Amino acid sequence: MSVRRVMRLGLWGLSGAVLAGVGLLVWFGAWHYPALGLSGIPKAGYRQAMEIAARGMTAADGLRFEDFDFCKYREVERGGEAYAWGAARCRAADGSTAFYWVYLEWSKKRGQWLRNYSLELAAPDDEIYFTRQNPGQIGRARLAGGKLLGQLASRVREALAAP
Amino acid sequence: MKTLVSRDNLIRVLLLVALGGTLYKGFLKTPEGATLFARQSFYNGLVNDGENTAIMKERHRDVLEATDKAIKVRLAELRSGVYKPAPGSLVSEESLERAIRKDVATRARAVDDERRAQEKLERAKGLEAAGWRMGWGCPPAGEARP
Repeated sequence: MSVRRVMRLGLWGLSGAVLAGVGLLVWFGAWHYPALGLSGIPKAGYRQAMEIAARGMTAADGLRFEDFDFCKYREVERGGEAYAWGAARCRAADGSTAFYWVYLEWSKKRGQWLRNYSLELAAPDDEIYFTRQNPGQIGRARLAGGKLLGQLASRVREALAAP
Repeated sequence: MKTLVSRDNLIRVLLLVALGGTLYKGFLKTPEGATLFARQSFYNGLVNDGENTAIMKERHRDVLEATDKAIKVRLAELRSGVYKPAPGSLVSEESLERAIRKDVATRARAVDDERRAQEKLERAKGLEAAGWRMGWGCPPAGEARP
């Protein structure tokens, strides 16, 4: 085999692997994870769906779910959209309190609740602690990247731990 | 020899019909057309948009209020020694106090946004109740009023 041929095969393999990775990420983030364990719960069962979601995502972050600080359900009168959100009060390993934002949306297409943007509130890497100078540009980028990857890792842990 | 019914003419007619259909569908997307021929679905869309926006703005205010509470609880636990920030952490008494102040400003804006979303929904319902129609002329500048 010539060098050119080996290189061409390698490039094809590499781009195939990248494509498969991107596809896997999209499948996990947009299809598999949001629906995990929430199928079969009707719109009115939002409280049950919220609790399942809250327990799963807080456990993946090492927090113990205690109760909802508040939990809301809203639906539109025209059209079929419905939303549920709330703050879950949790206990961290060191005994301190943590609040976790849980947000679900009703999917008309899939006819079930789906997890949406959810995260720990006032986590140590939250932007709200930033000042103009601290952290600097690099530090900000590192924190943002770490938050993103950390959240992905947490979601994957949750999915793997799911029954 | 020219015939009226030929394959070419048939295709021409079909193309004209498709063109007409496209024009009509496009016309129905305009407020002028929608308030003329698809009134109910137009108003439904308007009200649905207003409802979804109002819910979204309420949620945005809620997340900020929940954040405010989370910061205040963290500050209290930091002062009482229950919460110990990791070395090099951004979390400190000073940064928590600053975060509370920052959130006040953001929340004030969110409350305003929520009020405006409510107004948008009321406006949509008002337009429907008044049977509003987009006219053909050019109304004077300003919002459309029932």
